[in-house]
This record gives sequence, structure tokens and C-alpha cells, in this order.
Amino acid sequence: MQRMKAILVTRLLIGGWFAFMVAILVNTQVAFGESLRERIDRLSSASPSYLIASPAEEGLFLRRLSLDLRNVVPTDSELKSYLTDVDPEKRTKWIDRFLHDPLYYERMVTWLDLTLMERRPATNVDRQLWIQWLRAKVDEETPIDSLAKQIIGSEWWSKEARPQQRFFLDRDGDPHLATRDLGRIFLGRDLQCAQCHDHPLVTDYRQRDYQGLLAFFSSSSLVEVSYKDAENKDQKMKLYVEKAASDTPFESVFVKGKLHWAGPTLFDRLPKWEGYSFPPDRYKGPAADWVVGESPKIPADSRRQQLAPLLVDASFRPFAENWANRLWAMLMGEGIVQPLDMHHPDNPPDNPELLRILADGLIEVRFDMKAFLREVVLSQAYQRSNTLPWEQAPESLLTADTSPLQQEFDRLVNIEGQLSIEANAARDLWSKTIDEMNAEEAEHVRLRSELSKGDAALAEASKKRLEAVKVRDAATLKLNQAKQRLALLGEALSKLEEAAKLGPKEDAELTSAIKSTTAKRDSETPALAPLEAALAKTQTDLETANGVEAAAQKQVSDLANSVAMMREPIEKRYQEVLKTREAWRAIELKRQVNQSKVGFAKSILELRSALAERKNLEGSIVATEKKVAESMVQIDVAQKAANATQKQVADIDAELERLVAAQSSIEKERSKKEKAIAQLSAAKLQLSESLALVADQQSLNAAVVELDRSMELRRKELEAVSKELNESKTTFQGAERKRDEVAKQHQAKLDPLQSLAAAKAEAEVVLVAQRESLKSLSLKTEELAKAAMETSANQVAVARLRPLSPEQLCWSYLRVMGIFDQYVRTENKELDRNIPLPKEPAPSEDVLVERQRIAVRKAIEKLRGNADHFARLFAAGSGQSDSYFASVDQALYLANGGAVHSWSGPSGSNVTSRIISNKDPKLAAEDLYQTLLCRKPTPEEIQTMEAHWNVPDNQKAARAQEAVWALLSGVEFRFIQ
Amino acid sequence: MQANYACQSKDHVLARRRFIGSLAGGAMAGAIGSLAHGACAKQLCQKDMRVIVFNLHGGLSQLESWDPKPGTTTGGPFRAIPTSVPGLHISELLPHSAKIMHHLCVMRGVNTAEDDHGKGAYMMMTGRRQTAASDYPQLGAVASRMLTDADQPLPGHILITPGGGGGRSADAAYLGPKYSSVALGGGAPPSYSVRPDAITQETEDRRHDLRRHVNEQFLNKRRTAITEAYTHSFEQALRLMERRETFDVTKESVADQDRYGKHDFGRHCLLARRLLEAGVSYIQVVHSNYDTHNENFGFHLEQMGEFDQPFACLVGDLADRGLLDQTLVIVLSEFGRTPNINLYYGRDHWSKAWSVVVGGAKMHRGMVYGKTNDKGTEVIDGQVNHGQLFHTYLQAVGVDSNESLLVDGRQMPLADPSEQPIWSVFS
Repeated sequence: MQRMKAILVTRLLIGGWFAFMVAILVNTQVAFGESLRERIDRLSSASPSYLIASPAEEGLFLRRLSLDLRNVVPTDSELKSYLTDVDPEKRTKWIDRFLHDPLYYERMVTWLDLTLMERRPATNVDRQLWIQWLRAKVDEETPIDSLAKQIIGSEWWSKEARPQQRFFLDRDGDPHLATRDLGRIFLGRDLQCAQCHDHPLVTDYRQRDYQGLLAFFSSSSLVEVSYKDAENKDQKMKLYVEKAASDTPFESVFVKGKLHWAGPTLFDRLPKWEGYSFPPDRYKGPAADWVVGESPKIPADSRRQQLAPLLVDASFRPFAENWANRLWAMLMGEGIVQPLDMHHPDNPPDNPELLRILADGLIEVRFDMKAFLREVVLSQAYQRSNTLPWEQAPESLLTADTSPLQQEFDRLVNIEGQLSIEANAARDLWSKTIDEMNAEEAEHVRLRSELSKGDAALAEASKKRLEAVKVRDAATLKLNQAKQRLALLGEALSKLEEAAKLGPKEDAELTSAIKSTTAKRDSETPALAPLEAALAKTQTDLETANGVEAAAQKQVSDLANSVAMMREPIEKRYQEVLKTREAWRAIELKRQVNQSKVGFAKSILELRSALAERKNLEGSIVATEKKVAESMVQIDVAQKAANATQKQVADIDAELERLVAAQSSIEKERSKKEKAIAQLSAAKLQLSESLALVADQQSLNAAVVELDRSMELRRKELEAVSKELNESKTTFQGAERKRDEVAKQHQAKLDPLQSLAAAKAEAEVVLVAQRESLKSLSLKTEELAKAAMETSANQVAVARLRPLSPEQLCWSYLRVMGIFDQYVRTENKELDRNIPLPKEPAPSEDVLVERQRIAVRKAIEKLRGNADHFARLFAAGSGQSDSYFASVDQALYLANGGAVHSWSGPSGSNVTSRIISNKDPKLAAEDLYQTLLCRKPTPEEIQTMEAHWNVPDNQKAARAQEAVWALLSGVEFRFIQ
Repeated sequence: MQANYACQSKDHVLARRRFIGSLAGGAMAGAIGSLAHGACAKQLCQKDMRVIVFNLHGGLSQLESWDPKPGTTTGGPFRAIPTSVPGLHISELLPHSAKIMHHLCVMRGVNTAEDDHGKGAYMMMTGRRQTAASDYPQLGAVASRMLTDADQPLPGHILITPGGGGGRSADAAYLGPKYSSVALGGGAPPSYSVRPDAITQETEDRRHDLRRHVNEQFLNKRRTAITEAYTHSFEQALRLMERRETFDVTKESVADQDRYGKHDFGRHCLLARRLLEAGVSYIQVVHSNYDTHNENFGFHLEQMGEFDQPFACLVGDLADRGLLDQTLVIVLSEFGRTPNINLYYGRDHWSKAWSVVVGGAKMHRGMVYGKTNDKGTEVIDGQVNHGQLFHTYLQAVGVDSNESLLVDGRQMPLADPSEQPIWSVFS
């Protein structure tokens, strides 16, 4: 038992500063056996393993954990010591170590400050006082419900309770702002739009909810009082004073004339029924004895004090859900309900079941923030990397068996409609119950406003009675004075007469005195009667006033009784409304759970089918590309064949041409021959005619014979030429035939070539279209992948990439460059010098832990100006929720601001100094990446850095600082992976 | 966490990270860029429209400026003079402005019913009444949000104040600090826009190259809208540093410097001209102080004397350079001053009947809208309030003032939904 309960205290010496690890065995195990972390993991590991990210890399895990629990990155020595820790339970060990680090407490102080005050300026409460109060609360591990009680229900007249009232005091005590921010910050619901009517878009935000919440604050406001400070100087201060409440009924700007009771309610929950006290009893008396002048009075019934218990009641879900969501967002970068103050059915939780589990968990640990945070960071869900398996290998999603997921999806979709119907029916029932209550409430509202009037009349009557008393008292005084004067005169007269008897006779002076006194008495005696009459009149007036007051009192009392009589029916109605509201919430939750699961399955299935489609398309593209390539080859072959026939045709054409030429020369020859024959024939005819005339016939005959012979010869020659011509013609025809034939063949080869070209062109068109669709499909796939990443992150299957907060960024710069630890060391030395620890007995661990905490806080105070400056550049304005943005002035500051530049320089044994003195460029690169980014550099990164500082020694310092600055300003440092 | 993009989408609706596409091939390259700069931002952005506001702190007297009532019991000692618009007379204290009135529209029927400096200023700058439970963005933040191009390295919302330091204020409310004003106190350039002496040009180049290189390593695996915005801001910073001369009025010609005047307001107007030419969406030049409860006339003689010439120069230059069609010019205060002249020859706070001057952009030129009675004690025609004016400013630069922006899941109307623009003053 002793061992089990023992607090394990380990003292570790790390990197020159002491850290004390106190691993308290927090019993967060719930009665029914399953711890919160187990429930988170059961839910978040429900998906098949191909949809869940592997655990984060060790270094990145430590960085994330350190930022989440301590607002700073780990130092290089912490990282080294973690990486070399061989304990299989080391994650648990380091989680506990961080949870007991002084920086954890500061982290929670900052978180509470930002959550509650949203960087509002400190106008009525000194910021330091507020921070000190938060520190005390965080040190005591005050649960969040108790914190809420202290903030909302604190005694406004108490100077000691002033810091926690900053929530209201620095919101100027404005009832509407108090209502809005109480809803936003404590309940995760921004009801502002429901101020004047039911929210037009959000069914869950009712005007009655806003007015009900407002009623808790409507009688409170800031009142300035005077007091004397410690040096007895006059000072002024504003108090968040609460007056006795009165109800002003409200109506919707849409539905005029229908009044509703504006009493305090919290989402249809009634606080304890207000009795009705008469004016003198409505206040307990003056509040503060330290106030100079009239102090505001304390009301008998404080509505603010009634709100706190309602709010933190374990059966009231919004409070627990809100804080579970906010703490979750602190660790995960985003709430399950996001924005954190927009919890309603139209902006449902991304993972309603998880939110339910977390809210249960927070209630089970009795709102202990540390116990809750510890459970969450111990979960596998928290410790996952930010890369999903299919992100790196999309193929894995295609090869995975998604049929169970598909079946689940189909099943969920099937019941979706039914759930919607049920949810709508439940909501309608709730609305109907409200309408019924409104009817009942009409009488209540009437009585309440009568009561208000009666109350005013009674106050007036009481005032009049008091005035009458005053008048009566004045008359009595006047009469009594007159009576006393007469009595004294009488006494004096008798004394004078006595003296006259005793004295010498004829004392003229005495006689004259007696005479004048007698005259005085006699003249004043008649004045008594009217005074008596006047007194009697005032007496009557007083009695009348008494009567009026009594009547008013009776009326008020009767009305109060009647209101009290309404208590039961009204409360019953409220219970009815609450019941139907809760019933609706329950079914609505089911619907939302279903919706969330559908969303997740849908996103994965859609991504998968898009991936498959893309893969198919890519296949088709390859096929088309092949087709194009093939047709190109075919075209090539066909072209070649066509080319051959083309050549043949050309050859034949040449031959034909040659033949034509030959033919024409033969024809020329033939006509020459024919001409010769004709000439010969003509010559012969001439000769024959001459024959008769000529004596020497013999010689002439011989000539004729010669001519004949010659002609014969020519004829033969002509014949030969003709034959040749014919032959040539035949050849020509033959050639021509061949040409036709070959030309036909050529044509036959050209035809498929054309169709091949057409096919290729067609395939190319298809290819262009396919590539276009691939482009859009890729974009679509990318969108779907993002959606799937988002739903996966909602299922806590993967971690989100998220930016450091302004504070995280600043403190991380200071820590990682060794500046923060240097300040802590200085503060420790200062402490040792000013308050030396006794050597004997050795100081206990508690003392040492406390001392370290003091040193850390002092260092933080000294360096806070930097964080404030970062907040001015990187954070949202006051009264706005923080959100990430990147702007030029931030970049200008990081690039040119003196502070960041000097931080990145060499100092002590910080990373810049170490790089300068490191002889091994590779080790220097490793040191750089490990220290600043908590991971080893890639070979390529090492190469870059080696090249970067491969310079003469006198340039090394500059180079080292450049590299450190580049990483500090780099995107990886800016985000949590 | 939210990424405050121009289009204000939730970052999980936007890119959460780059989907690493071994299947993707080359087709996805460049897909992220389009996300980072937001297609929706481009649609919403009204290109090349600008706004310049002359904010005359303390409350300009309408009687000594745009709505003189000479010769009446309330009129004071100054005369009215004719202007470039036939029939329109303004105070003789504005002889230069009189020559450029054909570019402007005088609203003489302003009634804002708020005589408190702070509240009046809030109403004039946001177009709504201040409430404890909600805060509204100023005109500059809205203009910066609606008019600034994502690539613009210069801030979109600039405030030139007579003195004081620089820095950013919370005047963007829920639009987020990205759109809040960058104050150029005394006309000085933005903070940290000069490289520290200790950093040589070589170091500067090297360290930024190294930063880009280191980033690439990471961004090859993880590229999201929020990482893009961060790396982009450094490149914008470098470009702003390159263009730092934009903030240096001594780069203007001596003639121009003389024309605008050597005093602060003159320099600030010239600076405003440089910034408008460089594409800054919204500039507010503050001229102080007009709260003349005593010696109203002496003060206005002095103040208007300083205001008149640079103001007229700027309007004239914008017109000459063809910039007036895309630049809305507004001259306003938190309220006007009483027609009644008090015992100290002063005028007090007065919001019932005063004047605002608007010009350029889509406004009708050379126009008078609204009218006060003879003594200037009441609006008798064309009464307008801060809400209508705010709508009108937005419409004049092509922004639909009846639109809403989705901020963190909430629909936020750009201007008061219960008011409407003054439709008849547009050209």
C-alpha cells in the first residue's frame, strides 16, 4: 500500500538545469474499468489499420508533447536524453515529467488567461494580480468547475476575491457581454444572435436561452466606490455590484405582444425558486466596511451565485463538453467543435461520440485538468504521426479490402433518414412543450409584472410612511419644546416669586421680572393648542401611510403567494421542457454520430473510387498512347509500302514517257517515209507522163524501175516503221496497263494509310481529352484526399499540422537558443544568494521543486515583454478568438527585428556556438536539425549544410547564424507536426 | 486553427496538405498555388479600387467648410465663395478645394445623433453603433479585405497619423489582424522594414536562399494553405523592403513637395499619393485637431489653411493621372460643430446636421446631396446617417455592401443590414 501510494520522485540533471520529475500515480481509472485513454483509443482505432497513421517519430512526438504541455519546444539535451532513454514506458515517464515541469503550470496559466480574457486589456484589475491568482489556482490543481464557481459566484464586495472577478470587471460589467462571453467561453455557445428573437438559422439557440442567461447578470453592473489604501490615501475602484433582481419580461421582435418571463434559466434549467422578500429584506445590508461613504448593499438573493452550481452540475452537458472540447483543442490544434464557441446542430461536433467520451472523462476526473490532459496525451490517438498510410502509398488504399467499410457505409446511410425523422420529431416535441409552457407562463408573467408593480407601490408607500414618521417626529419635537419652555418659565416664575417674598420690599427689578415672565408665559400658553392639533394631524397622516403600506404589503404578499403557488406548475413545465429538450439532444447526438461516421466512410470511399478511376484513366491513357504509337508504326510501314509502289508507278511513268517519246520519233520517221513514198510516187507519175514524150524509154523505164525499187524499199521501210510503231503502241499500252495496275496497287496501299492516319488523329484527340480529365480528376482526387485527411483527423486517425501559438513561438525561440535557461540559471543563483538553502538538513524535494518554480516564473516575468510583442504581431485582437494568420509585418519582424537576430547569434553553448566550434560539418548539421527541429537531417540536407559552412574559419560564425536563422524562420519550426 | 485567407475559408476546407501523388504524375503540379491564393479571393476582390480617407479629428465645422451660412446669426465671420460647380458655394477658407469641387459630392445632410468623440468616431469608421457585446471592423479593414490583391506586398490598410509610433491596432475586429491598420506614425515607413546593419547583403541573400531551400525540403512533403501563407509572407516582406522608397516622399519632385507644402499634413498627403499609386487599397490620413470649443474661427482659419492646398492637390493629381475613377475620396470627422457660437467664440459638438465630402470612384461628380436650413440647425432634405454612408462607401468601390462574409462559420454582414446605400449619389 505504502509503495502503491508512494510518490515517486526522481531528480534528473539535464543540460545544466535541474528538472524534477514527480510521477504521481493519478488514479484516473474509472469505476467501470475502462480508462479515458482506453475509451479514446477504442473509438479512434475502430477504423481498419490502413486508415490509421502510425505513431509519430520519437523526436517529433517529444516536440509536440513539449509544445502542448509546456508551450515550448524541448531543449537539445532533453531531446537527447529522451532519445537515448531505453525504458519501454518512456512516453508515459516523459509525459509525467512534463506534467510536473514548472513550465506546465505556466502553460496552463497562459491558456486560462487567453481562454478567459481573450487578450482584453486590464482596465479594472491589475494583470499581475490576475496572473498571480491563476498561478495559485493552477498550482493547487484547482478543477475547472471550481474555477468557474469562483469566477462567477465570487463575493463582489470582497477585495480578496477581486482577481477572479476580472472576467466581468474587464468586460465592463456589461450584462450582454457577460451573457455572450459566458455562453461562448463556458458553454461553447454564442447566443448573441438569439438576443432579440429565436436564432433564425440555429434551432438550438433560443431567445429564452439568451434571456434566461441574461437574467443572471441583468441586475449587475460596475459601481465606483472610494476607499483608503494602505497609505491612507483616497483611491477609487469599480465593483461588480449585484442588486436585488427584478424581472423584465421580454418579447420577440418577430412576435410582438407575447411576453415571456425573463427569470434566470440555464437552457431551461431553473435555479432554486426565488422566494419573495419585502424591500427591507431584499438586501442583507452594506457590503463593504472598507468603502468610504455609502457602500452598495448585498442582495438577499444573488442570482450570480445561483448560476455557478447550475453550470457545473454534472448532468448539464454543455459545460463539461465545452471544457473537454477546449482542452482537446489545446492538445490537438482544433476542437471537435470548431469554432470552439459554435456548438449547435448546424455546426455539429466533428466526432460527437468522442466529445461525449471526453466530457464523461472530464466529469469522472471531477474536472481535474491535469488528470484529463494526461489521459489524452497517453492515448495512441494523440501520439499518431501526421501521415496516413495511403498518403504515402495511395496504392495501399486500392489494394485494401474496403468492402466492410462499404457495408458499414450502406448501413449508416440507410438509418440516416430514420434518425433525421426521429430527431425532427423530438425537436418538434420540445418546441411544442415550450409552446404549452408559454401558455401556462402567461399567467405567471402577469403575476410577476403585477408583483413588480406592487413592489414599486410598496416601496413608494414605505417611503411615504417614513416621511410621515419624520413629519410626526418633527411635530412632536416642536410641541415638546414648547411645553418644556412653558414649564421652565413657570418654574422660573415661582422661583422669582419666592425670591421676592424673601427680599427687601419693593424690589422694582424683581417685580418687573415677575411681570414680564408672567406675560411671556401667558402669551405663549395658547400656542400649545395648535401645536397639539398639528401633532394629532401628523399622527393621523402616519396612520394613513401605515395603512397604505400595510395594504401594499398585503397586496405584494398576496401576489408573492400567488407567484409561489405557480411554482409547482411552472417547475413542472420546465421539467417537461427540459425532459423533451434532453430527449431531443439524445436523439440528435445519435444522428450526429451517424452523420460523422457517414462522412468519414464516404470520404474514404469517394477517395478510393476517385483513385481507382484515376488509375483506370491512367491505364486508359497508357492504352491510348500505345494505340497512337502503334498506329504510328503501322503508318510508317504502310507508308513505306506505298512509297515502293509509288516508285514503281513513277518508273512506269518514266517508261511511258520514254515510250511516248520513242513513239513520236517513230511517227516522225513514218511520216518522213510516207512523205518520201509520196514524193517517189509523184516522181513516178511525172516520169510515166514523160515516157510517152521521151524517145529513150529504156533509160526512162530503168528510172521507173529504179523508182519502183526505191519505193518498194521505202514501203518496206514504212512497213517496218509502222510495225515498230504498232509494237511501240502495244508496249505502251502494256506499260500503261501496268501503270494502272501498279497505280491501283498504290492506291490500295494509300487507302489504309489514310484510315490509319485518321485513327491516329482520333486516338490523339482521345488522349488529349483523357489527359484533360486526368488533370481534373487529379484535382478532384486531391480535394477528396484533403477531405479524407480531415475526416481522418476528426476520427483522430492522424495528427493535424498546426501552427505554434504566438506564445509558443516566442518561448520556443527563447528556449531553443538557450536564452530562457540562461535566465532561469541567473534567477536560481539569485535565489541561492538571497535565500540560501540550509546544508543540514538537506532540503526536501518539495522545497527544491518550489524553488525551481519560483526561478522559472521570475525568468518568465523578465522575458514576458518579448511574448507580449509576439502577441501584438501574431495574435488576434482583444476579445477575438486566436487564429492563425501570416502577415508581412510578422515576416519583417522575424527577418529584421533586432531581437530575433540577436537570439540566433552565438551565446554560451547554444546551437550557433556549437556549430561554429564543431570541426565535423556533418555533426554540425545534425546538431542544427536535432536542436531546432527535433529530427535528423536527410542526407541532402546534410549536404546543403556542409556546402553552406565550407568556408574559412573567419566566416563560419556568420554562416552558422545564417543557417540557424533560416531554420528558425523556416516553415517547419513554425508548425507542429 | 483557422487560416485567415482572403476568402476566410476554414483551412480544413482549404488545402490541409498536399496529397502526395505517386499516382498523380505531373498533372498535380501547381495545384496548390491556386489554393493558396484562393480562387474565391480573386472573385471577391474588386481589382484596383482604392479608398483615401481624410479624417479631421475633433470635429470639423461644417459652417467653416462645406456648408457655410454667411450673413446669418450662426454663420460666423467668413464668406462663401463660388466653386467649379455652378451654384455650389463653400467657405472662403477653402479656395483651392473650391477649384476641384467638380470632382466631389458634398453630403450636407449628415445626422449621426452622437456627440461623443469616441462613439462618433467609431460610428463613422464602422458604420455601426458600438455595443459592448460586439465589435465591428473599420472601413479600412473591410476595404483591405475586399480590395487587396493577395500578391500586394504593401499593407492594404494604412493609417498616417500626425505623430506617435507605428504598429498595428485592433481595428479589424473579427476580420482578423491581417486586415488591421498599419500606422505610419508621423509618416514613417513600417517597422522593421530595414535590414539591420549587422546583416550584409551577402548574408541576407544567403540566409533567404537557405530558408527557401530548407522550406522546400519540408514543403515537398507537406504543402498546405497555412504553410504557403507563411512562406509567402517572407517573400512579401522582401518585396516590401525593395519598395521601401514608396514610403519616402523626398523621392517626389521638389516641385510636388513645394506644391503639397512642407508641413506634416502636406507631406502625408504626398505620401498618400505615392501609396495610392503603389496600389495600397486604403489610406487614412489624420489631420488634427478640430475640437474648437474656443476660438473656433481662428483655429479653422489655421487648420483649413493647412488642409486646403494639399487636399486639393491630391484630388487634382488623382484626376489628372486618371486614378480618380478608381479612388474613393472621403473627408469626414466624428461629427460637426454647433451652429450656435458660444461665449468663447467656439463651436461645440454637433451631430444633428453636418457635412461629409465624398468623391471619385463611382460617385456622382460635382454634386450636392442633402440640405440644411438657413441657419444650419437642421437637415431639411437628404438626411443620411453613418450606416448609410458606410454602405455608400463600399458600393462606390464596387463592393456589394449587402453581402456577408463567412467568418469562423458565422455570416457577418459587411455593413449594417438595417441600412442601405444612398443609391442616388452614384454616377
